[in-house]
Amino acid sequence: MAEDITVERVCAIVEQAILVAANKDTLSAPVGPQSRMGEPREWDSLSFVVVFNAISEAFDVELEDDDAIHLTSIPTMVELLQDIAA
Amino acid sequence: MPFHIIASTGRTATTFLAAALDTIEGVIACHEGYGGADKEAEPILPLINLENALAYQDPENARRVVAEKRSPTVIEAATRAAGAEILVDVAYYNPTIGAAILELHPSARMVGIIRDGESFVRSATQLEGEDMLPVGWPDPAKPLTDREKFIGFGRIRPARRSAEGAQWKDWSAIARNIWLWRETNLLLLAARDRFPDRVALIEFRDIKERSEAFWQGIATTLNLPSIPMVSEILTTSFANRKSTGYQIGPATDWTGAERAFLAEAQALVEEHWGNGRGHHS
Repeated sequence: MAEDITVERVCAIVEQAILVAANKDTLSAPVGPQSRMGEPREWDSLSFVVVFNAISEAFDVELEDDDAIHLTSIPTMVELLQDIAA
Repeated sequence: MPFHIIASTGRTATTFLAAALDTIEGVIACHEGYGGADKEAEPILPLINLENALAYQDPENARRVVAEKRSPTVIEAATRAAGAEILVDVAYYNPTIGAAILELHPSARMVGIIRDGESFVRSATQLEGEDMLPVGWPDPAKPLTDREKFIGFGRIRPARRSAEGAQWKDWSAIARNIWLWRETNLLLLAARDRFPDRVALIEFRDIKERSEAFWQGIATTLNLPSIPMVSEILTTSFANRKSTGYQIGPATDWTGAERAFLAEAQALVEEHWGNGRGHHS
């Protein structure tokens, strides 16, 4: 698994994935350390799958379906990645 | 403030049922959180999707989901905002969180709708093309859209370390949906066993064969007024076939192992249903 699991990096990956999924240049709100699905509003059920794949690829980790619930907010996502890396 | 739920595997006319109940004065009936089953409008209740799989894994998870998304405060605010006195949520996720809802809401009641296994499995998934109502497990080899994938993340599946979890990857869509049918109905039966005075189980086939009794069973259990108009709607305009038709053939076309699995699942559900089974009165 790739190192460098920081909140900032996770936020940047998630924001980029949502931008791609939403096909937009900017989001209704930036992705920050407390962001979760629905905040920004473009982080919805469709962009979720793009975020899921982007995190898996960026950190070189094979995520299971059961991990999905942990990818619904930045804090739980960081916690999951740190758990996997430990 | 009265709050009740209707629970099933899905593919039991739940959208239609929510829309019908929503016509009763003083009642706001949601389908999976959306008032009157109108999915173009903002949801009335916080949505539950991925949490369904989480709640299935552990009753403590279910309690946490209910505490956050179906607390008395949430329900009261939603009911008041809708200008109603009674809130009913009809949803596929209620089997996994139903017992936790009944724990947290002492006056809540639940109706479980049970469809026969073979017709559920046949209607549960589309083998080809995007499934706009992806209630059940797709064929493992089918390419999925992001929407289908997201919904799949929330669908219940066997615990990874269980014997069935180990077999899961080799199962066909038919076998996976037999499992889904069995587990969902066993959850309904377990809720009935725990809360026998607050849970009623009714048979889906009655919606057509004994429409008045079907509606009365729901109305009586949930303490709702009996509205003849609703039963008329159920009798005259109800249709539950997928517009695309069923792509899974009858059980006679399934493999021997799939038929045996269905027979085993049906026997287990029938055994648990036991003496409590029968047409509601």
